[in-house]
Amino acid sequence: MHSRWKSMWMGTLAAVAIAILAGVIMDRVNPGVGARYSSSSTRL
Amino acid sequence: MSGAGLRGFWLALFVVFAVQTGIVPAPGLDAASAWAQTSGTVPGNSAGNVSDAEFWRAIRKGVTGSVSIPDKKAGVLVQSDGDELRAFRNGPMSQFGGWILLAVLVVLALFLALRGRIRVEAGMSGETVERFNPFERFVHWLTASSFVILALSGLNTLYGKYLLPELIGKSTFATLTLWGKVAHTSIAWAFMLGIALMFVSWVKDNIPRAIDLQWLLAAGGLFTKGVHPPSGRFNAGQKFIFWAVVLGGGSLSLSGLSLLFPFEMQMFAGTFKVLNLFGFELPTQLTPLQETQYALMWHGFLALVMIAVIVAHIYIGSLGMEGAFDAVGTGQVDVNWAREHHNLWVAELEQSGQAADTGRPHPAE
Repeated sequence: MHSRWKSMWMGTLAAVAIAILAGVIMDRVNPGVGARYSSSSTRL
Repeated sequence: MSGAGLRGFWLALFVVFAVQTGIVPAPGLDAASAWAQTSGTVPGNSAGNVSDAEFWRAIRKGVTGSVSIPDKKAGVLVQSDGDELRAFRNGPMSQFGGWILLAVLVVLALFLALRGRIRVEAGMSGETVERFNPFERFVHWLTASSFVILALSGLNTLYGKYLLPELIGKSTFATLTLWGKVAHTSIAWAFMLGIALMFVSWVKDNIPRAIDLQWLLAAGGLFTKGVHPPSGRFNAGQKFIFWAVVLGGGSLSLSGLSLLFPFEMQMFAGTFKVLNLFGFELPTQLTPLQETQYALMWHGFLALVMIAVIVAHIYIGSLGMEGAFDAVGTGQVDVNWAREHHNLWVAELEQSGQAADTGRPHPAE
């Protein structure tokens, strides 16, 4: 039974690890909607 | 200054004063004003002759103004396409998705009731052959587990508001949806990697072949006991699943990326240009916001179709067919199962010495 589900757990854990890594990277790279579409730099 | 000259000076002074104060209209200005009133336009193209109703109607229809902030999309005060998007999403798309998911469940339940679980007719031999190696199983589950998370969080985004607030409360639903959104946008990267690895791993065995027609004409033997049309490593049904996942998953990935990075990917205008070559009359001039809205509609629609396809795949790979799950579980399938469902593949393995030839007749031969 253990080996029957082993590959499923490995794939799932890898997916979660990739998701966490991607989330951290996106959080650091992406300035966010607030910053990107801010009107703070308006020049009138 | 003489008396006449003095009277002339005072008269001129009065005329200037009268014109300045508006008591007497200036001859030239009067003529221009009269002309403007009769022709219906105002000098300088000012909006003075546009009624408020027309003015606001133009704004309501999405007329683009000019803004001085970096986000030029703000020049559109009211984006009417958003109404159509919401109407489509909450109307036909949600209804279609609900019906198709329900239909798949009903069809599978009927299939199970009428056909029963598809058994290995020769019985389990106890001998096994490797169907998928550890890397292939890893790729399968990487893609499958991420797809399940994407599907559940996506379905919550589309349907959750109709059901869950009443069951778990608005606050819990809001928290669930927030974290569901985070999970959706994060695990999407694992799904995209899985799709790419899956394509590389299995494309050579999923090229359509003439023998697939035999499988399709016999409906894979799914509806008739004792019928096992010939098949290589993957039968026509599995090839359909493969290409649906690769192409559908690829399209889901691209539309998802355009939603992850909004207004930065222009995909639909180009796609529509190509489709118009085949007689469609789709718009090819799209604003960044319209591009994003098309991406949202397509992403949701395609995801619902994909979920329906994958539900059927999960059924036939687990409950629906004896011995099928082992292929992605341990990777080892019973030889009799393999002979009944993938006889040509087993024959290839026997020829290459990767599987022992027991001398038993192959069901499809």
